Formats: sequence, C-alpha cells, structure tokens
Amino acid sequence: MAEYILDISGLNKRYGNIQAVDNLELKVEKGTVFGLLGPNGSGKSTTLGILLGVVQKDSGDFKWFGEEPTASQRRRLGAILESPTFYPYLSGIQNLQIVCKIKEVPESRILEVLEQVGLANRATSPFKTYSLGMKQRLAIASALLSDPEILILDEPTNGLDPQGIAEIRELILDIAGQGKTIILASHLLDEVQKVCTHFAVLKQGEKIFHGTVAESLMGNEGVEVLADDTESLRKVIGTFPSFIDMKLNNVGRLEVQLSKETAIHEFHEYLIEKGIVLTHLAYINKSLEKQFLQLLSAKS
Amino acid sequence: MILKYLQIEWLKLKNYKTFIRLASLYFLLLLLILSSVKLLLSWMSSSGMEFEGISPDIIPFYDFPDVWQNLTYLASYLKFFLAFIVIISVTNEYSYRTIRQNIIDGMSPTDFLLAKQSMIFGFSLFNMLVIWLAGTLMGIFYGSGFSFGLYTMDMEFLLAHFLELLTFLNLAMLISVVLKKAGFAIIGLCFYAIFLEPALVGILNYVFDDHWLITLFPIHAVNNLIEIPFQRYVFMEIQDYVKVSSAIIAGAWLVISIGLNYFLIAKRDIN
Repeated sequence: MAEYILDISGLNKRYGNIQAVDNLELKVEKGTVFGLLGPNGSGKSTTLGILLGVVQKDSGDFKWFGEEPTASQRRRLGAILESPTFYPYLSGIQNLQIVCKIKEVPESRILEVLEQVGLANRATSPFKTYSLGMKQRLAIASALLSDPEILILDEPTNGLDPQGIAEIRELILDIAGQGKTIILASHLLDEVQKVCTHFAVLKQGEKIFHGTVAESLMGNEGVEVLADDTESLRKVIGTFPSFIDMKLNNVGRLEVQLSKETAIHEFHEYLIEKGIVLTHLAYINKSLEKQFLQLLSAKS
Repeated sequence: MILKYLQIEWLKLKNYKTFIRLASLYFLLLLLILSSVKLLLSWMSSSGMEFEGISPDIIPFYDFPDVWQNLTYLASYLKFFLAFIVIISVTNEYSYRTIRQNIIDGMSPTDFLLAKQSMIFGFSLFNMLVIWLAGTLMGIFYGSGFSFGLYTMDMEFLLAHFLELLTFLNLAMLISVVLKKAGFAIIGLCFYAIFLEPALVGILNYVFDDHWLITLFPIHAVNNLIEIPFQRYVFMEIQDYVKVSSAIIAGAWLVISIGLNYFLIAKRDIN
C-alpha cells in the first residue's frame, strides 16, 4: 500500500463570495514530484497557505506524514511560497541563521546549502542587493536547510530569465533524484511536464483532474509533415481516407490530424503512391498544455 | 526556549541600522535625563540662582528613597522611543512578509508572539536595571547618605516602571499588529496617547468632575503608576507610593493587549 505524505480531505476556504478552495480531496504519495496546476486564482496558493499554517481553513482536514498538523512538523518541510521573503538588510548567511534557529538546525548546514545552490560567493552581501535569481536560490537554500523530506514550491520560476528557470529546474530534478517528495504549484505547464510525475488540476478551488504525467502524455496529437511541393501535399492529404484536419504551423509545416487507429506507415505509403516524397515526418507529442486547456474548457 | 526566542529577535535587530540608531539615541537620552537634574541643579547654583534663600544644589533629588520615584518618573517620558523600536520590529515583519515565512519555516503563532514578548521583556528589564544602577550610583554619590533601609524603601517604583514599559510596549505592539505599517502605527500611537486619550480624559474630567472611567483608560493607567514627584520640593503633598489599584488596572491592560496580540496573530490569515 502506498504511503501518503500528504492527505487532504474535504478542505474548504471562502473569501467573501469566492470559494477559494472547494471541498478539496488530494493525496500525495511519498517520493513523487507532484504538480498542482490551475489558472491564476484557482486556489493553488490558498491551498498551500493552509497546508503551511498561514491561512486559516474554514473546514476540512489535512495530514502531513499521516499526523495532525503542528508547527514543529513544518520544520521537516521546505517551502517557498511565491516571491522569496527575507530580511532585506541582512546578508544571506544572517538570514539563514534565523531560519536555522527556527528550524533547530545546526548552523554548519548554512554553507552546505549555499554551496548547493551556488550562492556561497555572495553569502555575506545584503539580501536586498541580490538579483531575482539569487533571491530565489537563497529561498531554495533556506528550504533545504533542514534536509526536508518534502519540498513545496509555489511558482518557483516566477520572473526568472530562461537561464534561471533552467537552473531551478535542474535543482528540482536533482532534489527529486534524492528520493524527496516535491509539491510544485505552477501555471507553467511546460515546467510541470518536464519535472513532475503526478499532477492535479484545480479550477475555482475544485479538483477537476488527478493523474500521472506519463499517462497523460501517452499517444500523440497527429503528425507534422513537409514536402517540396506544399500545394500538392495539401491536396493529396485531403484525399487520405482517415484524414480529419490539417493546418500550417509557424515553421511552415503542415500539422495533420488523422483518426486514432491510423498506422503511420499506411499514411506514408499512401503519400508515396500518389507521388509525394516527404522531407519531414514527425509525431506531434502530446502536451500537458493542450490537455489542461481542454480540461478547463470542458468543465466550464 | 526563551533564550532561543531572544536569539532570534537579536539576529533580526542587531544588524538593522534603524534599530541601532534608535537604540543608541534612546540610551544617550536615558543617561542624559537621569543625570539632567544633577546637571541642571549644579548649573542653577553656579549661576547664582536661589529659591527663597536656598541654594538649588541642596535639593535632595538623589536621596534614597526619593531617587527611585524621581528617576523612574523622568525615564517614563522616554518610553515612546522603546515603543517606536517595538513598532518597527513588528511592522517590518508584516511589510517584509517575514512573519509569514517565519511561520512557514516552523514557528507557531504562539512562538512568534513569545519571541516579540521576549524582546519587550528584555527592553523593559534592561531599562529597569539601568535605572536601578543609575539610582544606586547617584544616590550614593550625590545623595545625603546611605542606609540599607532607605535604599530598598520605595524600590517598588522600579517594578512599577517595569510594568509600565511592559504594558505600554504591548499596546504599541497591538497597534502595530492592527495597522501593519510603521508610519501608521507610530502616528496612531502618538495620536492616541498624546492627543485622543488625554482629550477624552479632559472632557470626562470637565463634565463629570473626576469620573471613575478615567482610571480605566490604558495610557492613563500606564502613566498613573508613577505620579509626578517634584512638587514635594516646594512642600506640596504628593503620592509617593504606587497605588495597588493602578497596578491592577495596568496589569489588566497588559493581559488584554497580550491576549489581543495573540488573537490577531493566530486567527487572522497572514498574507
């Protein structure tokens, strides 16, 4: 039987007229990288706020490690919510000293985690002089201080440049590789697709989907083709028996939808019979993005 | 446990320039105000001033046990500086959103409250000890003699001063937790303590001629612990003791403000 590191049941939170979290049920297994998806305002951050003790729930329950939530339990978590928050006038080291005191962790950990996130050379500069990427890395260093069993990240790549995003992603994969559980809230689907094993989708506080990333990405979204003579390629494809739809994409290739049971070699043979030689043929991989948008529109 | 809270608050404050400046200024003013009467009296006598033939230098300001009430009364004017430090320390946690991070990192709301309480306790205790030390030294050097009985007499003014600070600083924390912005909280505290409450007290006094409600106002209760002692030097009667009822009312406000502080920190969402 699977071991649940987080177990949420019947969680509710209302702000005035808005039901921010609506009877949420969610279980997260140990060792998974769990993506919490949803558009802005879907209740991701509110849910994490409740789980981390800064937002008061209206009703419902949640358990970390199978136990009722307490403050000392949170020392075993590493969490970064939205933007990194530290004392701006203190250096990286001084800020982490405070976290060490709160989490009851020896200060010898500070240099280790600063090394791990590549911030050791700026450790004594005041936090306010850091770039956004450095601030985010300090937040991750702080979350790693107690060598937590679970890492909770809320939009960790918000506002970062592509290099920063790639670095954070590497770090997440690195930490996941150590067998830790990660809960990642994001609206960047590409990010979730690249790092998560499981995911759930929230909409207006309700869970509308829960599954594994691998299953959701199984199969394909049609094929992408290119030939020297695009016009005759279009005509021929239009006559293929299981043809459904096609459109030209931004790199000048044709994206073709065929009915599901079509084998790709039949399609290829058909084109050759009709005198078309392809210069490009590839499956279009399924993306979480498409499914996410389908899920959201289907439920509205 | 208390030590851990103190360490956390000390880490937050010790490298904060505004704190260093306010605290240094406060400490200088405290020493100045404690020795000011001596300086003033010496200056008056050296410039030949006299009160009905009496040299000002012989006014027994630093004699035991009068020194305790004299010094604690003077020092109580500086409590606003300590309140500003408390306000800045608390509102910073809201404006930097570090209260949220502290709690996420594993503090409970109670831990957070106790950490701030340990800071308030530390300031009040430090302040009381400085006055005790200053009173002892000045009483010995400038007073008219030392006897243990007189030395320990009226020392309850030190405790009253301690209670005054604890209560006043907790009221300052309450305003900070409610308003969350340093500027608003400082203006709010000054407006209430210097203008609004005295005005209400004045109106009540005028309309009802010393209404019992007056003693219940928080700032009045805090200021009422140590009555102004200086008229005794012009041979008027003063209240040269701490009224038990005043201590009880101030103590009640201390409990109420800590309770409200806890309630606001623990029961509100922290954004």
